[in-house]
Amino acid sequence: MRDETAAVVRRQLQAGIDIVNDGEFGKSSWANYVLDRMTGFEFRPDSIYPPVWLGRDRERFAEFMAAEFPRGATGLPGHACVGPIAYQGHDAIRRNIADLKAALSAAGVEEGFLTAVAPASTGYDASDEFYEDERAYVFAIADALREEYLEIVNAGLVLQVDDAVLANMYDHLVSTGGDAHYRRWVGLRIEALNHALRGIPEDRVRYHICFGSWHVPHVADAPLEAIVPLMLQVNAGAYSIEAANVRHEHEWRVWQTIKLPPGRILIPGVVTHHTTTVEHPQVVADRLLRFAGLVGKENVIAGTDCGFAQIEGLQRVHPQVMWAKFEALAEGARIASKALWR
Amino acid sequence: MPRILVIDDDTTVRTTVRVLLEHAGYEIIEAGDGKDASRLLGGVDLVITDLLMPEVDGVDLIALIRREGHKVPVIAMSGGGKVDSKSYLEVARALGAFATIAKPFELDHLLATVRDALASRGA
Repeated sequence: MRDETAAVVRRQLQAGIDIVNDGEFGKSSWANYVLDRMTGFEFRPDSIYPPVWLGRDRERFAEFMAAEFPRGATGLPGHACVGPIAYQGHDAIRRNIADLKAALSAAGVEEGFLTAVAPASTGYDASDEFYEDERAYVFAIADALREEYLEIVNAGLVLQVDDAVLANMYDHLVSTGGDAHYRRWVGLRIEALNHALRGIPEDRVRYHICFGSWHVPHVADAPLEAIVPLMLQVNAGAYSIEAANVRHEHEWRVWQTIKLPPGRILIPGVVTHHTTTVEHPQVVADRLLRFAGLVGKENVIAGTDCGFAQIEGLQRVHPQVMWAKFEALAEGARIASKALWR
Repeated sequence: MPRILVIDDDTTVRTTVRVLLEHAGYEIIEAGDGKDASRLLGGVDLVITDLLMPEVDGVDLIALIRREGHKVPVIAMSGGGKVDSKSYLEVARALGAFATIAKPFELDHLLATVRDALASRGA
């Protein structure tokens, strides 16, 4: 694992990436990995959880789902919380940290980041049978996650909190219970996340939201403008959002209305996992220049829409294409920087 | 729960403001231009209006609000890439808008201005 982490860090640097991570090699998935690092959850092989996070796209594109995304049509077995939740992943996260720090040291790089899941995205296909109180359940998750967050930050690494489910639940909750239902659901989970982040300097935290990495129509995605006022309540120094795909690229306009708070950074996706086509570096640069014009050139970091492989054994584009996209990202950032800082 | 009428022809702006203010505990009704808004003024505690809009624009709406004797405070917004927003905001202020906000705005600034405007009703 240590050798592979070192190799993926070197490869990121070769592609021109400045702020690298461990390729998430130390985890089985972007979110459910954490259920193995917590007490209280058990896998239910005989249960089927409907993937409500797909929203009404499940009905709107039922034939597509059945043909190309069967999990979206049927759902999959999930987990149940059956006992007190407590973090028990210290050995695992310390191994991840040590592997990344060794890779950074070997490569002569000072800054790297590790991802960890947010309370809203923990157990997205899980049910609570123990706490029977939503607030107690969500805050128990947050208390457990805090231990992982602190391990990462105290090791001198940047923490990226991944929270796809926060936005993914929009269509289902709004269509079944109205805007207030969604706001209440989100409000509790953002409160819990800020509870888990308490005392951690904001400049050591990045917060990532997205609209799901699966290759589906995404018509049911939330509009970014419905998410940003909530997202900005998270105590983070940087916000990572999708901005490089055909369903969300137009949402740069949101920043014509909302001013990024002082001291915060925006990490727009300027290459996407949604398509195999590799972005031209000039397209990347144009996207960055547009964001720089809106939120200030000091406040933009070029990013990806989402990760390129969210679960063990799953990849959104071929790795060869992924690396080409990273190279396009870096080249586009160089073009934009030259224009902005000349 | 204070009731706020949000008027903008840009749904992105309306949604942003609605989500922010509903999350802060306010009741929001929306209109896409001043003409529709003029029919919704009864019973609202605050009006937040864009200025550059089709049909009846925000400046005409503020003038109508004052002409018809509504006591409701008005927050005028403009900008966001549209031209000459500064002079429009000055006109809105001259017509009696409680406050003007240039887009893009910080969400905390809008929330504070809303609180001040609602508090001004008792002044």
